[in-house]
Amino acid sequence: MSEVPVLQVDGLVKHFQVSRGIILRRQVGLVRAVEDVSFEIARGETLALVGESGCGKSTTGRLVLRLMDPTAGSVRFKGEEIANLGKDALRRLRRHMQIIFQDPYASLNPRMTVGEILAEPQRVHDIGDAASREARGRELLEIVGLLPEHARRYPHQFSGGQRQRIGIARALAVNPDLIVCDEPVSALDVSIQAQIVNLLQNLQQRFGLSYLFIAHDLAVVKHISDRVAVMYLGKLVEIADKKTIYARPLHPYTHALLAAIPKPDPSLRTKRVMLQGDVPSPFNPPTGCRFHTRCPHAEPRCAAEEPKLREAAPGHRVACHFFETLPVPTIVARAGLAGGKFAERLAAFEAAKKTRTSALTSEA
Amino acid sequence: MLNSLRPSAIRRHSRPARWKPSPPTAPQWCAIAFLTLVVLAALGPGLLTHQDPVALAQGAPRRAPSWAHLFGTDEYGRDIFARVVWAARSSVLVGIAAPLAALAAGLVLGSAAALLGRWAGAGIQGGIDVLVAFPAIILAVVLASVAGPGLRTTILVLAIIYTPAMARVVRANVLTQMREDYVTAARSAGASRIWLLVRHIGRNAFAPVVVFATTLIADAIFMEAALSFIGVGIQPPTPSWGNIINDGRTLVSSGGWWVTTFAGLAVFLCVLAVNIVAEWLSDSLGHPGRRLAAEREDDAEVAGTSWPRTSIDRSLFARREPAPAREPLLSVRELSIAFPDVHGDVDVVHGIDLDIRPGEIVGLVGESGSGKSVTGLAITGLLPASARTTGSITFRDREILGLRPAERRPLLGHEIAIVYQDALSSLNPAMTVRQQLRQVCRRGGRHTPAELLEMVDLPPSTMLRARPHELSGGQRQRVLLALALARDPALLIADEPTTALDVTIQAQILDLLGELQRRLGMAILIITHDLGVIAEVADQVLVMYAGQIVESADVADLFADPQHPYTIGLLGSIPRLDVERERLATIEGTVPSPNNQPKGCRFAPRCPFADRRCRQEQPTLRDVAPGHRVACWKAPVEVAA
Repeated sequence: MSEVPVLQVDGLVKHFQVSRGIILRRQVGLVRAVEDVSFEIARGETLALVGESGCGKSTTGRLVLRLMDPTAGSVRFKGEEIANLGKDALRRLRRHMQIIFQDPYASLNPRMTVGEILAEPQRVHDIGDAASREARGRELLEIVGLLPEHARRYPHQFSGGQRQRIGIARALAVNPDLIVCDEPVSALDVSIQAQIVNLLQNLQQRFGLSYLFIAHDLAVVKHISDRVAVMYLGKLVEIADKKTIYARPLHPYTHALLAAIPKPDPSLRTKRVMLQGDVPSPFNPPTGCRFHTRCPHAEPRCAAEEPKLREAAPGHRVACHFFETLPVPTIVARAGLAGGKFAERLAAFEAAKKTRTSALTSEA
Repeated sequence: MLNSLRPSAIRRHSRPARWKPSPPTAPQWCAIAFLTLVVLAALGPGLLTHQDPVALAQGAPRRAPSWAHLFGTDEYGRDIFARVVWAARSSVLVGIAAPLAALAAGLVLGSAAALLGRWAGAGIQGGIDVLVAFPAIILAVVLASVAGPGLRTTILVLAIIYTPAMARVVRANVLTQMREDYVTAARSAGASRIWLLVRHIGRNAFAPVVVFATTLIADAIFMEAALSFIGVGIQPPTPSWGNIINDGRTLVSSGGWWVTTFAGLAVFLCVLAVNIVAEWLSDSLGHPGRRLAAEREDDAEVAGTSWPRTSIDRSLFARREPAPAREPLLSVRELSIAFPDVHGDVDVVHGIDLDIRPGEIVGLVGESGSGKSVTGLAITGLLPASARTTGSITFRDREILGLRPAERRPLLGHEIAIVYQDALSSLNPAMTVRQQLRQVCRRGGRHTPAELLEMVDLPPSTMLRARPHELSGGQRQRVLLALALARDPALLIADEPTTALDVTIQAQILDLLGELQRRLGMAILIITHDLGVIAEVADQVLVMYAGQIVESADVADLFADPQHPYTIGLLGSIPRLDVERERLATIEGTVPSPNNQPKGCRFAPRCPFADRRCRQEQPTLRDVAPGHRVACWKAPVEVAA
């Protein structure tokens, strides 16, 4: 592993000052949106960043792209520090880092055609001429599973899932190395979510992309991530590879996130251990462990002393004083597709789909 | 602040890509015709009158209107018709030049205030605020005495007066655009500020700004007349409607009504016409602010906050024990819905049957565009008037489809309540939670606001005083539930109640729904795209595809023995923790649009099992097991040997 990681984030901090007054602005407080966050993403790897609204995961995504300036810490892209990069150097770097948004209805300019939208990143970087950019646009549409003639249409003529594909095509336009996916499927129907997740996986294999995949749902992330980082109120509370986090989650917050996922199996409908209330305000976060106000296992020490990220196993770090002694939840330890005929029906569905695709391709 | 960084999951509809004005109505045609006449008069007054407006003694002085002098003559014998016609030129010039100049200055100042750093922006904003505080008349008097009165000074004065408002509108629009995701996307692609301003912000902010500028035209015409009237605007003998009125003052005292009347009428009609046309333009553009306000009102109505109290049968409020025979509370038969004005004759919802028994939770599942929400609206009678419905919906054995709004009101909110996905826009942002709850409680509720909050597990002590923007998404959804529960409805319709929420909050809301159903015994129709949600709460499930029910069953049956290929695909696309799979199963393609329905089974183009029969003949629902119905020629599918 001599290769330099695509992204190295070290001790990233972002504070927002809250000020009052028009002429005499005085600072009345500090929102600690991101506090001492560190992680790495290797080439072709996906790191999922998971947490509830307001935990700072989107802010982290924007700091990585330097759409906002960090308060402290370092962000290195292929070994190059970008936290204090000059304007022109940053512009050149932007070719290699792109973003996909959550809301497919807000992320495309309603007054531009799809062709214009796809040509824009190339125009910004002076790549090619009008004809080659148009050709690239058509190619991109095919790559994301749309038709080349869609280039002439406007965004409102597409469904949510199709718009998300256009957003993905725009991100691919300048051949980036890293794409920050900011909740790319949370606003979509479950059936469309699956299409988009599979598309992102295919593109990753085809172009060797690295993803920082931001989500609030550990289930969605399971299919696309290599490693998972869980954030709570601006801090990382647990980070591990995918297998570990689903098989042996250690932080009580990770347990809660896993328990909250709706289980598509009515026979498992039980009263579950649930997280009460909302995330506290980052304006005035709890003392000690930030999770202690909602943690079912909290003890006096948790309110007094902030836990450090400690290594539980190689590559598995947890910020909890008591993770060694906490009971292991039984959320995941369960037989798959319990009973019924669903499993075989799904197999039949997939088999029929495969036969059909191969029949179509052999015809063509 | 943090919220503005994260776009909401709520779906927004984009503005139309191209501006298509709606056809003008009769008054709008009149206004357009009159303005054309005014512009004609300004361009070539000689076409309308051959009289000289300035020459004295064109006729006898102080003559009432006659065929020779349509509007009469003034003290000096000048023809008033000619003067009024010629005066259109200065009005039109001022009316166009002043707003244009203000638009230009406003664009520069407003964009600068929005895009420059905090200090420069604050400086510009401060300057603008000072200008706003300056009275127009005084500014005009001062400038007229410095630069000399006249057309140019009038335009300058008005431009200065309008610039601050213009700059504010520009700044607000630019700031709104800056927060859009597509601007962020361009930024992350490396675009410069100028690029953003021209290619993204300009394109989208231009229309509302120009509409605002057109509303200034009427004001400019009026102000020009006023300034000329007091003698600091257009100077006599050059005619202006304002100075014609001034000329006529002396005549009025001696009974000469015509001079002031005709000039005054010209000002009045011109300003009215400009306003009508400006309004037509801004309506065609769908001014975003205005549209949002309208939507909010609609949603508030839906949330059950604003139905007037009507006399209702008190016995309906008795504690409802599920009837032993389990007669359906709500029964939908052969329901079809079409929107002739949008999709023509095609049914968006086609031949739907649905039963909800007291105390039962029924799930209606489907993708966007499947017609599930429209079905919910039909039950509550909230479909737009243009919708055409056939079939029947009975509630407690009473037909409710096609009831007049007055007949339906006792039902809505009292018997049937609805909760929406978008909790923020369903609550009135200007009212506290207590005020909103009290509104509903006063109209026939059985609970106090505090009790209602306790029912949805919110602490009344702090929540009653809060306003919607101070609440989190989950808290807002609970407040909406509290509003819906105020009158003990027998049926609650929950349309995507958890879709915009975090999974943790979704779990809380689903548990709450289940508990409310157990405690209050009400029936719930839950409309969602997520079978995972259904598995958590529902008793009965209906799967909808392209406006039709394709499968219906008891929840346990549906998940253990899914028969329709669409149901199987939907189940396979749910990411699950308990199954090791490399890839999620997907259903290729998208829901067909209503205009483009396939002839046979509507799912056939996306179905891996479809054969010729599926493409030719439409399957109907048939029983495959007690209580389990499927509309598919192929079900149950098995693995091909």
